[in-house]
This record gives sequence, structure tokens and C-alpha cells, in this order.
Amino acid sequence: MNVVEYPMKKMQGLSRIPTGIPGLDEMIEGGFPFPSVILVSGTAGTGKTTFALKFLCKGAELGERGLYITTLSEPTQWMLRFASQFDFVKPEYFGNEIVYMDLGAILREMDGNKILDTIENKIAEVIPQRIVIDPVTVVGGMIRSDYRTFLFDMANMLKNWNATTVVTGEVNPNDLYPPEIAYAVDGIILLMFSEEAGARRKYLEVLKMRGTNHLTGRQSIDITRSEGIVVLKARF
Amino acid sequence: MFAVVMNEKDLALTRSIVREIDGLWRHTPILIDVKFTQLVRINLILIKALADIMKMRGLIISVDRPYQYIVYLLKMHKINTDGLTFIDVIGNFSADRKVLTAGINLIGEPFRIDALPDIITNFSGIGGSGAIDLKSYGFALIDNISTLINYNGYPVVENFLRNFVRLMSVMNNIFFPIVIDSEKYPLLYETAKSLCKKELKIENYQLLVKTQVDTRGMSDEIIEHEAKLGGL
Repeated sequence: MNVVEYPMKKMQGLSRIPTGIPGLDEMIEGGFPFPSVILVSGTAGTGKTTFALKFLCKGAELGERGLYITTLSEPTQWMLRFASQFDFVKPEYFGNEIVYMDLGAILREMDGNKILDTIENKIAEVIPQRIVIDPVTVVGGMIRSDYRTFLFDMANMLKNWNATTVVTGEVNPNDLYPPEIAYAVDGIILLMFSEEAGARRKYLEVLKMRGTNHLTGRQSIDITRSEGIVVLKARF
Repeated sequence: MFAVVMNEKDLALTRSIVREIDGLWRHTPILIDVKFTQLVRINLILIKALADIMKMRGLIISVDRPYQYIVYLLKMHKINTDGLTFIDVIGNFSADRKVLTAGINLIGEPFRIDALPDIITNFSGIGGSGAIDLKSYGFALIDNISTLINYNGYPVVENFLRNFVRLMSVMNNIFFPIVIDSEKYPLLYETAKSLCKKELKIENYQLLVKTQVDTRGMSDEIIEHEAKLGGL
């Protein structure tokens, strides 16, 4: 009997989608893996929501559908009021390529499984290629069930829907990322401040990106009206 | 279960697909060029066209995600799954809160996808227990074939595709769409193209005919044209 030995060497890398953040794709072999769940972590004001919005708008520009899930009970027009200050945010995306979902109202009333079902129903309706949950850390203080189990189930569910999801996580000034979710995600991007010569400078660091030979170390960033977050000093 | 209505653009694309494939010789595999990010949406549209509108029985092989996600999506879109049989290649590897059992579970796969045609044959009335009668199916769909490259490498997947197309062609009257992103997987796409008589492209909400081989004449003449067929 002939035994055929098949070559196990992979001929194809992971599928990737552009992040929309100038300078970041070059740090992570061309973009976020598709599908995957990416945590964008930082203290208040570091640009997490700006990052998430640019990620969705880049998808909309490419004809992909996006689902923006807010946990803040914030009406669409209030979010748009701030977001529209950026040139890359086109109001016509919202309701078309980008669908907005407010999860805040149900967080206090439902357990983890029901929240996941609600998210899943929306995903099955929209069939998005890009999803944002902003910020996911709010959920921890509100849901009645176990938060770690919820996060694990959520990450698993999101990956199986064949989308790339950006979840934002707010941390205290001395923390790098929320530890409860870090183990369940495929990538961690840190956004941070650093005081230098009396000024607060902003940095981005890719802490983890599974299946990716990524650039390590902090990179300077700027936040501009035209492009949102821009990586300034990536050494490629 | 909460149900949603497919949006009008996708419905229009579904109708275009029905019009395009309705007159095809069914035993012919058909190649569909789709961007890899759109595969979930396009496979849903294909199943709606084939199972829901054209009322075909279907054999669906799930590779990208556990099959219950496909069932969930179909039910959300009010597509009857009674006539569908699922072969779940990945479900055994997923730690998932959804618990359902597929028609056939392939334990240990998807790393040995080359064994799938034999497994299907053994489950069919051809040489095995007759658990599934392949001749009763109207279509077969792999969701999705390019993902297999990550588990098996290209040569194995190419070999599998050739064997699978051969198996499908033995089952008379089965319709077999092969959905691949030509830019992302050019090698696999070219292999599939050599096995297909018709090549379509779906771009956003448009269905385009890229290549068609006319088998009505004495010789196979390739007619290349791009025609806008419909959609919005």
C-alpha cells in the first residue's frame, strides 16, 4: 500500500484587512487578521473611539459593512455630533454601511447569555465584516452573570461570525489593559500617554497580535482631524 | 427566534443569481469570484437562492465556522433548513455555547480534508450505509474551501477539490458552486477555473459573468465577456 505524505507547509498566510490607521498596517504584516478579535486599550482620551471609528470607516470605504455597538446608552446623533468633526467620518455611512446599535439600555436588565443573543441577532441581521464594541469594559460593572465567562463566550461567538472585531477597553492610568479580556482576544493594541518635558505625548504599542510578526515597542502617534490616529515613527 | 428580512440589495442579488443559474446544466460546477470578507453574506445569498427560492435539497460542508452558525443565520433569515444536510468539519474544534449535532461530524478534521470525498461516499448509497442519498441533493456548497489551505496546505486542497468535483459529477444533476477570492487565492482559483464551465464575479451588489464555456457545440469554445446582469 502506498502511503502518501502530504506537505504540511502552509502556502497561504492569514487573511488580513486594513486597519485604516496610517502606519499601523506596516507594523502588523498588512492589517488585522480576518476574522479576529482585537482589544484597543487605553486611559480616557487616548483615542480608543477614534481608532474604532476609523476602522469602521475604512471598511465602509472598501464596501464592507460595519456594526458599531456602544455600551454607553448614547443616541446615534450624539455620537455623530463628535465623530463628524473628523473628515473621514461621512454621515452617509451611518444607517447604510455602518449600523449603530445601543446596548447600554439592556445591559442592566439582562444576563450575559441574553446580551450575547441580542448582539448575535444584530450580527445575523447586518452580516458585518467589521464590528466595534465600545467600550466593552462597561459591561463588567453591569451584567449579573460571570464577566470572564461572558467575555470568553463573546470573543468565541464574534470570531465564528467571520468578522474582525475591535473592542475598546478603558483602564486606569497605571494599567496597560483590562486583564479579564486579554486572554480571550487575538490582538492587543495599547494607546497611552507619556509625560515628556512637560508635555503629554501619545503612543501606540502592539502588545500582542496572533499569527503576526509584529513590530514591538512604543510608536509615537498623532490624532488629526483628517485621518484620526496616525502612527508617526514606525521603524519598518 | 427573532427573524430579520434580508435587505433589498441582497434580495436583488439573490434574484440575479437565480436567473443566472436556473438554466445551467446542473452537473457543471460553477466558479464564483468573491472577496474573502464577503463570503458569509454571499453564501447566505446562494443558499437562499438555491434552497429557499429554487427549492433544492442541499449538502453544506462547514469549514469556516461550526455549522450551527450557518443554521442560526438561515433561520434568522427565515430560510427553511429541513432540506439541508450539514457536514461539520470544524465543529469538534470549537468551544462553543451553541450545541447542535450536524448530519455528519468529521472527528479530527479539517487537517485531513483529503479524506472527505471517501467519507461522503461511504455515507452515501454508493458504497456504504446509505445514510445520505447524494442523488437526492440539488446542490452542494463548501463554506468555504479556501480556509482549508490554512489546515492542509495548497497541494492537499487542490487534490481534494479535484476529487470532490469528480464525486459531484458522478452524482447526476447536482449543482456545485465553488466560491473563492481570486485575488487572495490565485492558485486555488486557477485550479477551480480549470474545472468549471462558468465563471461569475460578485462585486458589491453586482453579478458579472466573467467566462463561459459553451458546451452546446461540438467543441468547447470559451466565450469571454463581462455582462452586467442585475442587482442594484
